[in-house]
Amino acid sequence: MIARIWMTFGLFLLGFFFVVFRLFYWQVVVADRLRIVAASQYFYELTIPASRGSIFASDGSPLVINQSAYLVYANPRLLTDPKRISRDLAPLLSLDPGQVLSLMQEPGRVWVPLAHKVESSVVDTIKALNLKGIGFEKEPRRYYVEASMAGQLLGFVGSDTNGNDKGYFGLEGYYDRELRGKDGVVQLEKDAKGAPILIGEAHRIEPQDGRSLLLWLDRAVQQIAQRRLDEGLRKYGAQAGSVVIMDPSTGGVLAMASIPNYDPGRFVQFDKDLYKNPIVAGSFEPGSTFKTLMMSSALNERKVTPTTTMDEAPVQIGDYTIRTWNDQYHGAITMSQVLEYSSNVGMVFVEKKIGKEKIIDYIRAFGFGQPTGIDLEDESSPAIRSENDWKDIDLATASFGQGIAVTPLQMVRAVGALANGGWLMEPHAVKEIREERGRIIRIAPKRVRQVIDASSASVITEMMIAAVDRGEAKWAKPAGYRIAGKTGTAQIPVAGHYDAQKTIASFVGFAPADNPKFVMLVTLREPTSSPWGSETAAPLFFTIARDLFTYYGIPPQ
Amino acid sequence: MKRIVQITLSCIPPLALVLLVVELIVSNELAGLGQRLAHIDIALTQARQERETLITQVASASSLFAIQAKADELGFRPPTKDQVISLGTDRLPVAFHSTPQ
Repeated sequence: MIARIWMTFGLFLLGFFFVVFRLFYWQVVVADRLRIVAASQYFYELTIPASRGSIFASDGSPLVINQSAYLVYANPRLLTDPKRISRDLAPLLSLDPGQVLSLMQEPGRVWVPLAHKVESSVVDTIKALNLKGIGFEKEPRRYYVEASMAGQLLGFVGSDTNGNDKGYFGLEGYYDRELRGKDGVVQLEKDAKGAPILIGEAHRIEPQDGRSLLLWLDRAVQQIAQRRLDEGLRKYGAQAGSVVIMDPSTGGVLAMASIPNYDPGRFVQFDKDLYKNPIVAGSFEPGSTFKTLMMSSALNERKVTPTTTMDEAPVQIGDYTIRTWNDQYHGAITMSQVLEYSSNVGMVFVEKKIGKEKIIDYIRAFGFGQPTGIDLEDESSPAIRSENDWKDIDLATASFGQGIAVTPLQMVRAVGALANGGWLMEPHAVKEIREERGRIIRIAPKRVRQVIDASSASVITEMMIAAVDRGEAKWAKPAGYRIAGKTGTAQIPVAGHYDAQKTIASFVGFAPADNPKFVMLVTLREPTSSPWGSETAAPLFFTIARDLFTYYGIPPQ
Repeated sequence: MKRIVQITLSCIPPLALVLLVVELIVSNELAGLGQRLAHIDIALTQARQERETLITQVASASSLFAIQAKADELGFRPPTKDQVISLGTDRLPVAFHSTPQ
């Protein structure tokens, strides 16, 4: 009897410990997991996506904005007739019906993305079909208002390895973090039907929308540059070309056009080689346009004046003979005439006057051999030889812009210094960064250094005006305007030697010369109508300049 | 004193009943408000979407691309060299005085 009582007691005790053990398991061991499961039943969490910032031209008109778009997905378990649905959907999503069907029939999938960033109008059409098992998730996409205009300056938005939006190249790449913003989150207690409970627990972190950018770029100037470059390429039969226009007093980029280019809104349809902006990432030998910088250096060193004379004749440097571009010689010529005739032997005279050390110093001072610091992702800079690697022939050829590689942006910025009292500016595409809440961050123009003094800058300006008025391109110049400029025709290096036929024709200048509103560089690669800058790039420059004078209301001086 | 306590105690049950009814009504209202809030959220999302669509349409209509296409259609052409005439510099007088001969 006593034994049975003890046995019963023992069983009760065992049961008691079993219950305590199970309680310990549910309330301590797996408590956290159960809390999360319970929270998912009575809490709903919603990510509030941040809007990517917009990009505006200088007049406030939008260049890049966000457009409503959706991710279209399928829930294979809810699809009633996958074959019919794939046939209905495929043409709307511009996909192959077989491809859509195979996605829908993937084994073990409960959620299948069919198409990303589908336009609202297409989504409305799909919704009208009332297809069970097809859902939509908001996925805004970028809209490039002016299509391919300034495409390489703007860059594009693609996806990173996690499928999130990321900017690449140009402004979208450089300012990706500023533009992206930060997603918010909201957590609300919900009832059995899924509606929020007002007096329940709620946590909300507001999204921080991306910042917007206001550019220096003038929409009308960009359009002029783009249109005229397109016409010029066809007229002169060139392979490629570029136009870059800057405000020399601020370093603000007013326009950047290059052809071939691409539409950032449809970047996947274009060759990847087009994504890089040739104005900041491509290099070329500047040719005779470089003479303006070397001449200004000699003026600054007080080694020459505009009236200093030299005897123009072929010059022997080691095994090489330096000749003029047309092998014509004018006897005793002034420095001013060296620029008018674009005399290579005249520039060798100037180079010897400056001296090796100073030449290299001035090349670096004008910003060559290092990036300009422009706020675009793809900038690169060709290297300059180290001081010990410069031979006499290298110095001689560099004086007339051969044997040295520069980017178009470096070239236009350096000539911009001549227009700006000798001050080299840091170029910028963005003028202001604007937050959604109204705070504005202004990016002030930045003076890098004074390369030449103001009086040397005035003198070289007058010499460049004379080079335009009396040089090879005088026939194309708009009458009545004082334009400072210089033509350039550089041979293209191919496999260690210069190609006899192929050239890069260029013209660099600023106007109006007395109070420059813009500095501009035009380059044409391999023009077939004529290899010379005076017959191709120069008239194109003057055509654009004429349009700009009309646009800015600048009368003849 | 005893009477006051008795009256107070006798009021408690009906008071409790009234409070219970009020609580039921308020809870019911709150539950309904939650649904109305959900509807307002949906309406807000739709309004935001419409606003985005309209911004896109305005931007598209005012793009230089669209303006140039419309200008070409209407027969506008860029000015040629001989169509732009500058009337002179600042040194020119505002008006000329002509005396009868």
